[in-house]
Order: sequence, then C-alpha cells, then structure tokens
Amino acid sequence: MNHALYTARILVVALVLPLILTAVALIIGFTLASQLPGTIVVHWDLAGKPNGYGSPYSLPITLASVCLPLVVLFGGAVILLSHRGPLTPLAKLIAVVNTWHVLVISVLVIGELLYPGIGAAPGLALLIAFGGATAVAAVLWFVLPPGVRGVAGTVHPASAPVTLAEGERASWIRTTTASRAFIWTFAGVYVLVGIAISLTALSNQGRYWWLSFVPVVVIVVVLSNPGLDRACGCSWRARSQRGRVSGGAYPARPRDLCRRHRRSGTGPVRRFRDPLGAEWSARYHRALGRGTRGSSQQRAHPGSHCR
Amino acid sequence: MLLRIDPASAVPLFEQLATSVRAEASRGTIRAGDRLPAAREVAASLDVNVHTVLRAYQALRDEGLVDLRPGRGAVVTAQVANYRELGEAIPRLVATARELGLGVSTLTAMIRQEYGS
Repeated sequence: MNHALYTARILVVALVLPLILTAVALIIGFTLASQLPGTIVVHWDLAGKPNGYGSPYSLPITLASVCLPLVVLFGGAVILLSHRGPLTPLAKLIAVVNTWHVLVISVLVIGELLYPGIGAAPGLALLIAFGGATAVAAVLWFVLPPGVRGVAGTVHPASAPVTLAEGERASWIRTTTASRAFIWTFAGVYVLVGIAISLTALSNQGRYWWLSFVPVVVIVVVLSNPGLDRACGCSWRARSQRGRVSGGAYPARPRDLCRRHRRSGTGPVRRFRDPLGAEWSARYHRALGRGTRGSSQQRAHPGSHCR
Repeated sequence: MLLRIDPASAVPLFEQLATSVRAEASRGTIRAGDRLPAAREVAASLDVNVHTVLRAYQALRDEGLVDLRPGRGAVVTAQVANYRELGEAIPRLVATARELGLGVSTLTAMIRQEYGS
C-alpha cells in the first residue's frame, strides 16, 4: 500500500475521527443539558447514594476537558511517529485507543444526560460503553492495515559488509532509545490518570484519601521494574569492535533511575532484542587475507534493524 | 555509526574520523538532535587518543555539523540536512564523471576550481 495513504488512514483514526466524535458528543451533550433542571446529581458514592450536585452542563464540560487533551496528546504522538517512517503497531494501537476512549466517555456522559440517575447503578451503562467502544476499536484495528515492524526510523543498510584494508580500524556504534512520542504519551497518560485518581480520592469527602497514594506507588513500581525503566529511560547501544560485540542499556537522565545492564560476547554473530522489541545484530568476521601472505582482512557487518 | 581510520594513511586521524561522521550524515543515518558517541568511547574502540576524537568533533563543530555542549557531548545540528542533500547529489556527479571518462583527480580539480570561482 502507498505509504502516504496508509499514514493518512491511521491519522484519520488517530486524530480526525476522535475529534469528530468529541464534537458530536459535545453538541448532543449541550443540547440534552439545556433540557434538564439547573441542578442535577453528578456524583454518587460507592454505595450508589448521591454525594455531588451540579449543573448539567458540567457533564459535557467534563467530557471536553478530558477528551480534547487526550485526543491531542495521542493524535500528536501518532503524528510524531509518522514523521519517523512507516507507522508501527504501537502507533496503530495509539490511534485506535484514541477513538476508543472518546467513545467510552461520550457514551457515559450522554447516557447520564439521557437517563439522569443512571450513575447510581452504572453497571449496564459501563457494559454498553466499554463493550461498544471495544467492538468499534476492534473493527478499526482490523480495517486498518497492519503496522510495519522493525523499521521505525532509519533502516541501516545491513546487507553490504564493510571491507577494511590491512591495518585499517573500524568501530560501529549504534544507539536507540524510546521515542519521544512514547515517553510523552506515557508521561501524559500517567499525569492525567494520577490527577483523576487524586480528584476521586478528594471528592468522596476524603473517605478514600489513601487512593491519592496510588500514583506514587505506581511510579515507584515502574521505576523499580528493570524492564520498564530501561524501556523508558535508557538508551540501548550495540558496539562491534575487534571481534567483540557488546551491547546493553545505558542510563539516560536521571542516571540513578536506571540500572546499568550489559551483554557482551565474542563470536561471528550476536543477536539480542531490547525491551522495545527492536532486534540488534552485529557481525564481526576475521579471515586470512586472500592471496597475500600474512595479510589479514577484517569485516565489520553492522546489521541493525532499528534506529 | 561506522567510524573508520587507517593509521597508515597520510590523512590525519582526526580528519579521517571527521570524514566518517560526514559520510554518516550524507547517508542520512544520523539526524538533527542525535548525539555522537562519547569521545572516550570512540577513542577506546579505535585505539586512538581521546584528544584526536575531540579534535575531529571540534572540526565538525567549526563547520556547523555538530554542536558541542558541556554535559551533552556532540549533538548533530540541523545542518545535517544539507549534508544529506549533498550526499544524494554526489553519486550522480560521480556517475556522470565516470561516463565521461573523467578520473577522481580531474573531478576534484574541477570542483575546487568551481568552488574557488
């Protein structure tokens, strides 16, 4: 498929469709809100008793304040990824999730405005919202062409071994890190979820104050997990020199958040996979020179398939 | 990034290192914002003095390809796009010269003459 057409289709799902859905939900939401009394129940406790009242317009306003930043965040991430080359399955997932969360929130808000009080027993509404949105997301996932694996960024011309003259030295060094789009998306979602949890904890008259510690616990768990902190905060580096191929995760900033990790070995070919799924390979070949006694020929073969 | 040096060559080592980086730039394998490997790492991998690598990086800074920042190392600048553009034009130029039977010395002399005019 034409790359431009493929990228355009994913961008439609990542940005255009969620924006249209948000706009339609806002129009319906404000229209329904105008037909309701000035004050309605907008929040219930876990037992289903009302504990928060407000204007019906607060619901579409909440929808806008939650959906629009997320749509821009996720859509922006996909646009950034699209500038780095063919879109990967991760970009496709972000695009589909962008439509999914808009559908979930829109159905819940419109459901509450259509049937005030539904929030007291939200089981059916949640089922419809999550089930319907997931079904639509699944359709979008299968309608979109599969993401292209392993070519995010520049593809190194791996097929041509480099032949060195006698006495010539060569070193091949390559580094990859989590994309900025991934890091900003991760950070943005974390902050938004953290704010939502904290607001929930405070809105129930402080009864669930302990929930406000959840974001702190999550960040501690993430940073203490070797795989996650390497994926988010480290650069991966492979190096081929003098018959020894080495690679590993090297700390990014701040240095003390990441454990140093190395793998190294000696041999003709070494392959390993980093936490982001990119495959590294490097080959070192040493053989006696052809025709000239005592000469040697070294070939360093950088075969990276990642940025 | 593939860095190559030939100690037997008459070309200074720092110039050979700078040429390797320029070649990566013209091939488009490095981009604006990328960081070049630490000078100490390059020096260790090629068994050269770290000052040789730093001199190469300084030469690249002087021509605008990298920006040397304290604590961040050598960062590739937006100038790299020009190298890429030139890197795409050079193979065509060399192919034309070959077709016309002109050698590398003639081509180099003509480029020098054109540049000087």
